[in-house]
Amino acid sequence: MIRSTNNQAATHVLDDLQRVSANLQRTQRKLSTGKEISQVEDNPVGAGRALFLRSEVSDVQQYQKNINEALGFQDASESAMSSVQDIMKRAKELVVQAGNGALDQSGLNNIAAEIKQLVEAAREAMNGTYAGRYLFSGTATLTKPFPGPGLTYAGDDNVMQRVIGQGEQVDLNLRGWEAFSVPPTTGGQNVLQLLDQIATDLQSGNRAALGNADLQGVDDMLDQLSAARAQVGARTNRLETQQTRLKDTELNVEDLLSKTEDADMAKAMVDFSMQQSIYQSALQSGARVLQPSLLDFLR
Amino acid sequence: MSVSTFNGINIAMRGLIAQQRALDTTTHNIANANTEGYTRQEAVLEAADPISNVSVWGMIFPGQMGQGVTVDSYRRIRDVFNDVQLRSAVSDQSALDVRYRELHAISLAIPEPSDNGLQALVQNFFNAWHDVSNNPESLAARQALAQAGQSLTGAFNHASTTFTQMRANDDTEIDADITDANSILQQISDLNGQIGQLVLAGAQLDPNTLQVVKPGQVPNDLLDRRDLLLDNLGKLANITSVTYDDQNRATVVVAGLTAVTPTGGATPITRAQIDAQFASGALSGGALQGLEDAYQNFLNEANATSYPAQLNTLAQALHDAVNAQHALGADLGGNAGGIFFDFSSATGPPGAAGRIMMSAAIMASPATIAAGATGQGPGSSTNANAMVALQDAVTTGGTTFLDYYNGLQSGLGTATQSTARSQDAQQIIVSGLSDRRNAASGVSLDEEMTNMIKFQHAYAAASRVLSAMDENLDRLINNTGRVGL
Repeated sequence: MIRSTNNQAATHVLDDLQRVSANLQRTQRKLSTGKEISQVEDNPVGAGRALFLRSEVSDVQQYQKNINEALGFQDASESAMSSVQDIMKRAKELVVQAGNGALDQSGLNNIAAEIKQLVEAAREAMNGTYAGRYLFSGTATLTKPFPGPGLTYAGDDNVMQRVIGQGEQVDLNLRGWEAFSVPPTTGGQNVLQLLDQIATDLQSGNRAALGNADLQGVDDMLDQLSAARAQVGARTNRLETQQTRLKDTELNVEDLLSKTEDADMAKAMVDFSMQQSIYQSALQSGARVLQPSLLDFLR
Repeated sequence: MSVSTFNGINIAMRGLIAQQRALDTTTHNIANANTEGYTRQEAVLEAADPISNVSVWGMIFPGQMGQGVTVDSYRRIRDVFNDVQLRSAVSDQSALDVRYRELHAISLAIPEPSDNGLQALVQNFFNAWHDVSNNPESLAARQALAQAGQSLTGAFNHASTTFTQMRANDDTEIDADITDANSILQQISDLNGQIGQLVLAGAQLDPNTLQVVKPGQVPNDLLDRRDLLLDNLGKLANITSVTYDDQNRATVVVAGLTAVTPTGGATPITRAQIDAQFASGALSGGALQGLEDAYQNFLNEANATSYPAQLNTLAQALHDAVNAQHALGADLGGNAGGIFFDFSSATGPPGAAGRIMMSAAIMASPATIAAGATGQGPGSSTNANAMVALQDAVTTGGTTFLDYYNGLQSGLGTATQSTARSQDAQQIIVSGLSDRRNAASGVSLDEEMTNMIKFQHAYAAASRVLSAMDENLDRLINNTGRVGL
């Protein structure tokens, strides 16, 4: 027969109370933090997965931030190019008006004066900025691409890129000549040069040039601007598509992360009340087991 | 020759004395019910040597006449085999306890999942590079990157310092435990002396070998004290063997070292011996084993698989990869990139994690962060874009930063978790064995109460016999031959 001694009973009661109260504390921590995994040792595999998922959430959020920045830049470029296009449309009207032969030289001079105004308006649009940076200077973002009084491009020929996904980059900017020159190369004639040429032809009464080369030049420039705007539009599209995709990914990953890391509150609550009642019964039965001995029944 | 008329008084007296001693033993047990290491004792009652009843005619009647009771000895009730098992289980348990404590402390030094853990800080660092890529002209974004770099190196430094401190504490604790163990060994040796003397006093010796055949006295309480000391010694280091000589003096071999002998006394164990026994595997349990394991293995930077060494690998890889990429770029002024991370001293200790820091040039002027490509304008973020790609590049021990760090954390988490599980399992073994010890040796108050009543009644009965004897003698002495008076 196994003897049962008083110390044994006391040790058992204490051991059991400690175990039950440790369980209770663990569940309580789940409830108070809302996390299933509050340290790696709780679930090393799950915690490892959670680390990756957290990193992915952060990456995806950062890419979206990058995309928002890039979209802002595209919008600013688009609106600057749209202004230049409007200016060129007005220039075309003027060139057509000058070319129809109804105007004398003073009339041409008046038109030339308006064209000069258009040069400055175009310059202003082409020197457009986003968050204090010139849109069309290449990487020389702190240098005006078309500084007065000259007509030539002063930016550099580099393209800026933005990271919009893992290993995925998108070109950010159109260089000055890429947007505003025909042909779109460093040697092409830019909007300012074209307008200046037109003004010169107007002042010198060169109707032949006005009717042919200049009109053709304006048309080509309008085509070029449309093409450049389409390029920006395509980039914007790509950015927006990527953004939508990233938003979906973010939701999915966050959902996964929550499933990995977050406590099932309903289950934790049920566990908690169960463990609480176990703890209470352990306390009660412990108190009753420890108290009496034969001593209590001897006279 | 006939039996004395007064024989019965003698027998009754023996009964009184024996019950009294048994009652005393019960009292002793009750008094020591909560004494650590106490073993319950019992008075071994034995019928006293009988006498032959010789008749006046010289005829020997069959049988002998009982002469009551004597206390043969006081016995402690102990299962020695269980003791050996329990000590070994407790040794393993203390080693596991220390191991868990250390691993848990390590995981607190590099806490995950956490918003301030290394994973989050590495992530923030690369996100800051993204922000610089978005705004390469902005000094604010560069300043933020420099700060993110500093937070990251700070976290590395902090973890490294914590590891170094933990290891230094373990070092001190090993020395303290050895001092404790030596004090215990000295006490065991002292008890050996006292026990030997008591066993020898009045002992029956074998005439040829002079070995003790029947001990003179059994010093139960001293034996208990020695057993308790052995229990405590087992918590510090594994007890390889304990053997006893004929005088019940113990020879103690601890962690493979013969530390106490009956004649040679205690030989203090040294730190060098403990280190050597750990290396050879002879130190296989007890707190010292756990501490040595932490000190020599998983907190030891020099050990490539230790946690500080893994952290060093990570810091070194980050330093190398970021600096190599940084040198390829150009800063805001168009100058080629300098170093991004620096080391506070050229070589360790501490290792890379303890020494990594931001380069002073970058902290002084964030414009020197090489975000762009050589020969491009301030809007160039080519190098920053290449830098963020490092996050997913194979840079650290054949894998990415995150993979490597994740491996470190999973390894640590798994080790901690499995230690906690072993600890639970060991707890069950220890409590089972200690239940068995308690069942054999522990004091049960119910039992003592029962015995108390038993002995009390026997004592009362013996007194009553004495009274009856007294009445008989009174009749015989005072009333015999007074017929008719």
